[in-house]
Amino acid sequence: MPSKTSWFKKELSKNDFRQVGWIGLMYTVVLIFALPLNVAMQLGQDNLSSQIQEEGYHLFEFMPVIQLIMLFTAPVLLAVFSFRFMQVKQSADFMHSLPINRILIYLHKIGYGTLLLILTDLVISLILFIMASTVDVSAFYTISDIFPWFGLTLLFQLFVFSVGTFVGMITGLSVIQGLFTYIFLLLPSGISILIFYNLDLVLNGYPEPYFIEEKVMQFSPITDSVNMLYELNISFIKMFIYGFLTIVIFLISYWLYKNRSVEAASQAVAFSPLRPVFIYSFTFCMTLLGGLYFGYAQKGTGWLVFGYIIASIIGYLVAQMILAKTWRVFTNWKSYLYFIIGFTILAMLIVFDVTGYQERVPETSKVEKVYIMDNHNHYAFNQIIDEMDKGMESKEIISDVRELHQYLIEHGQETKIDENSSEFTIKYQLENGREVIRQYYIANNANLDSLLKPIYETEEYKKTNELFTLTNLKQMEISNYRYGRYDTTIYDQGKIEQAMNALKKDFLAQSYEDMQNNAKLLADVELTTTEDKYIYFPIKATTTSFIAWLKQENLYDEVIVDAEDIEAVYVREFNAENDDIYNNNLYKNLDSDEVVKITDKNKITELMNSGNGERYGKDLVYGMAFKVKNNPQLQIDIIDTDHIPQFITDAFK
Amino acid sequence: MIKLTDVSKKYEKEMVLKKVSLEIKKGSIFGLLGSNGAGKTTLLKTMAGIYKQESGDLTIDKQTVFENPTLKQNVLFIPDLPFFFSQYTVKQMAEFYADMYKDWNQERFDNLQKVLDLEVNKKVARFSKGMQRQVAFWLTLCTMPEVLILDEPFDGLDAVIRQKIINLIIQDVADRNMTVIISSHNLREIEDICDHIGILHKGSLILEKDIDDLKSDVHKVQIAFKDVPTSLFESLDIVHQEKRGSVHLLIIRGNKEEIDQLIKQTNPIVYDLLPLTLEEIFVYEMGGVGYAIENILV
Repeated sequence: MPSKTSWFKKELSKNDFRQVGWIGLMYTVVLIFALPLNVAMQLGQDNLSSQIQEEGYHLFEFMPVIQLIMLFTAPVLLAVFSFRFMQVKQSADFMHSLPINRILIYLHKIGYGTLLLILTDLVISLILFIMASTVDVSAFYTISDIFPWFGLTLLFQLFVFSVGTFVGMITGLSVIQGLFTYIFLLLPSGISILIFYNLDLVLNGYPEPYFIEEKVMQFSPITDSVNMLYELNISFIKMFIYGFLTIVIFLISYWLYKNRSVEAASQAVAFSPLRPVFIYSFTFCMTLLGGLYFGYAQKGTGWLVFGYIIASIIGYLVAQMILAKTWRVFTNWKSYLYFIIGFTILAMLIVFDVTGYQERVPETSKVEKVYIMDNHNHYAFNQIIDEMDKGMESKEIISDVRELHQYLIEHGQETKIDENSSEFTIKYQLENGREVIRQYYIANNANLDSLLKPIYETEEYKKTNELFTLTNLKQMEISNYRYGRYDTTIYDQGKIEQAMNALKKDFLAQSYEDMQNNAKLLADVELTTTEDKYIYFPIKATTTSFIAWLKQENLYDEVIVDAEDIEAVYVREFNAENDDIYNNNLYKNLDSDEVVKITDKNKITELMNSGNGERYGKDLVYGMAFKVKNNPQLQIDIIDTDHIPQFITDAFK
Repeated sequence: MIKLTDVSKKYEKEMVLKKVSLEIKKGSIFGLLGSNGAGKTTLLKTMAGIYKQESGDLTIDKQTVFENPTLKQNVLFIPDLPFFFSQYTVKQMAEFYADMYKDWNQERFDNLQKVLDLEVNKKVARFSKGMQRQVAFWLTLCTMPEVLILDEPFDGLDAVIRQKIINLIIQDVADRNMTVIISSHNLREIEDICDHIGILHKGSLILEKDIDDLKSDVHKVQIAFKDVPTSLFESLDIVHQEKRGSVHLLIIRGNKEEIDQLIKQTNPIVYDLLPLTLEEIFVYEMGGVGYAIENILV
């Protein structure tokens, strides 16, 4: 009997069209609304000029949310409906009783799905192309924008379609297929984040996950695509990776399909060896999630353990329910026992730190560079450790940092204790290319002074500051809003450079005590780069070079208010809760015994330096109303009884 | 010829088929009997190449069926609930079959329409259950199958339709030497069309016989004597024996002529040698298996 093998079955394709054609249709219609119709509507508006998009505008920016949603729903629906036949017992039996082998069925299904996606994107591209060639749409897009849109849309859709197909192979339920496709797409990021946050809860010195979060976001196509498509910032390597993965996943899916038994239809997990894998990984993820929730919401080991236990039970039961497709699964606890034993052992290994993670301080000789960051300097230095490309290399600093690190290992805490606690992040760049990053909170850093001083006072440390690394400055704003509004903005590049040199000089001359001194600032300097990055720098009395430069430029009087500018200060006693403290009129009644007027310049200077604005938690405070020259409005500051100068207390006696 | 050698099949952790061995000759009609859950459907689906056995060999004309499109061109399976694509009309289904099966016989399709008197442009889902089954037979027979596997084909059909379908099957067996395998949980349903019978019980094939052999092998004898010759009872292979008054009722296995001769030698007063119904044969042969068989005989 001659066998006639044809790779194309017309009726099978017709059947595919009847099953999934609607998805293509729906997707096309939505995209027509989002793209060509959207452009046409904007073209039709009278105030076209206001619609004109800035340079670099591209096709993904038209209704990006709709486009992204379609990108991640159409291929999933397509995968679910294309492979619906094998999730229903009767149709699975029927399809596999036909005289065609599985490769043919598989190729028809993914071939048709792919074709549908290509056609849809092609239709939209064609409409856009025709529009671009007939009407002037240059305000919105050009013909050269169409191909990247087509290519990237298709690439992502095929990738999502492949994942949907893959999930379809390992499950026998369409609902699970749809749901778990999204879980799989999010899994790489999700699981990393869960693990990082949980390690952060139990390991002292483990850095805040935000350092890695951004990198982790790239692991998941859903989170990654938002960045890539919206910013249109995708490398060829990444495109290649997505394309390659798509092919690999399709091949794996075929292998799974070939080995899948037809009777797997309507089973939650199609391959029985995967069932325990499913139960344990599902339970594991839920356990980590529980730990995350209770660990962060309710600090403390008790809550953390409670979170692990309760979430592991819930996760285990839900996994069982999915597998058994019933909620009555409360009898089988054997696997749970294995899980909880395994999890406890894992937790113990981590908590008792078998790898020596918490104690690890790299040898000075093995460290190439070291970075250090603390939250107190954020305001002044505004450093983000990832952006610090300049590490410190001198052996003295490295060994000083190691000493600090040792102290933090002994006294530091994993989580923030209160608002006054300091946060330190240390990063070692090792010579073998690896990195060691640790982060600690410490309640009181008074003891740290002796450790920090030798580091912070070095020129090398100071030169890692953004003040020295920032380039392309656009503007410098000097402002002081304490006694009214005094500010000025400088755009002159030459002047900015002079000011920068003065600031650098002041900064290099700053002692550790100066840095830690939170005395009243005279003004703020805000520097902005052409890329709209900002840094702030505080102007204190010790910032002498900069003050000298201000005077030289005749800007001093414009932005700095000193005792010479103050005509008088009126001081009045208040109950701490009294909101009348900001009422100007209450200070003007000089006849009353309640108000004291100060005009002596030395005393004014003292009052200017001692105001602390603090009134909460006190009984009695003093309101100080400063009368600044040429300003009829009084500027109010508050000082508490602990900080009030003696001459005021005496005056009220 | 369909040949099964030690075919075993697991479903989850449960063994559904346990080392089933069986041979079905070309052109025969094989009846597969068994109570619910005996593994009949699994066995049929394995024969149809839908399921893959865990171990053992299953061949049709010396070829494995699983993933063998060439062979499947001629091996057709009709499940207990026939499947049709949703929203498809009979005509669309026929087009699908015509594209799938190269031996599709359009002429026969048109002829059968007259016999069955069903509307071609109506959606199959709108038909009643019995009509849907007729559609399934209609489509399947037009592919000119060499092996036809039917799972509970008569369950819930009325006598007229049942007869119609039986006629169609028997015609194909006669004309084209088609092999048919029919499963049922009811012996009476299929005894008149099958020439071979197999009984599946808890996954094992506990009996497999030619019906004619069975019938010529076992006999029912009613006999009465003046003096009971005990030596006679010893020389006969008696399966079952009871006494009603002076009349002995014997179920005897063996050659009809030999039995006849032996009995006549003893000059009985009353002597009747009767054929057994299939049902009686099973009851006597399979008495030990009990429950399962009783159910088949309902």
